[in-house]
Amino acid sequence: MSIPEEEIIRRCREVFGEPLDAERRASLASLLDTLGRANLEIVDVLEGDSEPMGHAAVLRSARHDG
Amino acid sequence: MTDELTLLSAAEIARRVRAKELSAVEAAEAFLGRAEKVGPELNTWITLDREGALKGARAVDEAVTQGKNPGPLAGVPVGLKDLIDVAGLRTTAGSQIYRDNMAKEDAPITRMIRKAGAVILGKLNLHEFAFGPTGHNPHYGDQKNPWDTERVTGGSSGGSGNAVATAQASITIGSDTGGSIRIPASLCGTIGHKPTFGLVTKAACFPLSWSLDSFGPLAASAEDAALMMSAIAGPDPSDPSSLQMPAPDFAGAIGTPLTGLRVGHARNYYTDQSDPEVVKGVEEAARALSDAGAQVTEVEIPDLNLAYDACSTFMLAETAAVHEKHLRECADDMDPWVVERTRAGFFIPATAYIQAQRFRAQWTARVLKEVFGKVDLVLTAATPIPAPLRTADKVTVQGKEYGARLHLIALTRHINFLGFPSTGFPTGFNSEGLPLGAQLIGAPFQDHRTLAAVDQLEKSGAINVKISPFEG
Repeated sequence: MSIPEEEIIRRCREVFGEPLDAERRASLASLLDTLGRANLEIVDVLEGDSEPMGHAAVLRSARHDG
Repeated sequence: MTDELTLLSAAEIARRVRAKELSAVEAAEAFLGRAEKVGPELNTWITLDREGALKGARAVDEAVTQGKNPGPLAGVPVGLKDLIDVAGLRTTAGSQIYRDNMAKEDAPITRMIRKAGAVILGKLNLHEFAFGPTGHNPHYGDQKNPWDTERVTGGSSGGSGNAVATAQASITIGSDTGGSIRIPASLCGTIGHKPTFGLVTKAACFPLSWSLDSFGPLAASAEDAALMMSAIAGPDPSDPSSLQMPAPDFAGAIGTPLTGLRVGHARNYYTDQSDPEVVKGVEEAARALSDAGAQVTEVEIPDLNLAYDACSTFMLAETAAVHEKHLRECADDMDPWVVERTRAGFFIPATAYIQAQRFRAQWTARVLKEVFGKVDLVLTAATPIPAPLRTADKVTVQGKEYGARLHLIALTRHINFLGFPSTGFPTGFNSEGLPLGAQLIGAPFQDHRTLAAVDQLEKSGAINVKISPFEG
């Protein structure tokens, strides 16, 4: 998720009505960079049959002895 | 002085009310008196509803007089985090944007609590929109820690934490998206239970992140938390997130000995980033579990960093979706720190959100098999640090500097990502007199077992909730 600074400025102006100052843009870019790298790692380890709605099924499948 | 009635357990209040040894009105008056005395200084309440509470208490007393069963929480005074609708009271979500947002009806969880006979005292303060781990709030006042008012309560359920810690309410309800029940429980020194995701209804409760939010109790004992869970757990057709699973038998589980219980001590989860006094507290809890008959072994939870970042990805995206209208139309009315945290969600690609969801299912299945295939419960610290000063931006732990706010959620967020139940409990106090906390995590729908294990630790004398002597 390495997003060009111009895109961050454009999007912030569109949503928040302001482009953000340089310090806050840098902080945002740093967080997005971390999440972007994590996303690449996640894509590497995802199995073919993992699907986005699978979590609830995993919870339901757990032993229930209450 | 704390009224002696406010020091009774919820279970004992309910027993006395049912036995006509205590009226619900007397109990409500005692807690209201305490709340009116110390609540304003600790910024505990957004709305304290004396009239409504006494009306509810009179109805309980009338039921008792008529020989009807008033319910398992008969006359127990409770407080609800101000995300939960109560008919006739405003639901502010801790924001001035919703300062006049009157609820027309009770949320389902409110109805369940009333049906169980509890008396609702009012609505508790929180971090704005539940989006923060400290309990700072520029609109309704920072929630203050009763053990040192210069320090945070932890959040977002800060009012829920300091209310129980100072006996302003017998039980409170908080919400937990990244730790918001367990963090204030740890920093204020109470019990806090985050239920299995989808076990407790969140219909008509203001959301933070639909895939992670859970509502649950904070209390002065695990038995009281279990009593509340008996009232609020179970299927709710009006909640799309409800897993429609039957509630565990909480009452039946309380009192179960620890003999044979397999507890995994997950040192890799917390020791490197935690204050040494926090680590010592968890080690002592592990020894107490072992002394009480549990089999304590080492376990390792895999892929923690990846899970943390995946959780951030979709929580930020969902939170931005919840608040898009607010950010576009009235961001100036919000806490700038909350606005700052919400911004990143607008830059998360849809593909990253979906990959994070896929990873969640895969990682949860792996943890269930590799960790909970070997043990029944997992023990870790709840927060890596005790309550930081309200003015602190940074904290130093083992020579390393962390952002104070985000470090508070370092040990809780993963459990929301898993969706598993976790009971936070106090392990004692540090050398500065601040509470320290641990958590016992269970497999899905094993809420009764985490609570029962903490109950046994209390009954063995290894741990206990201490009510703060704060008098203002």
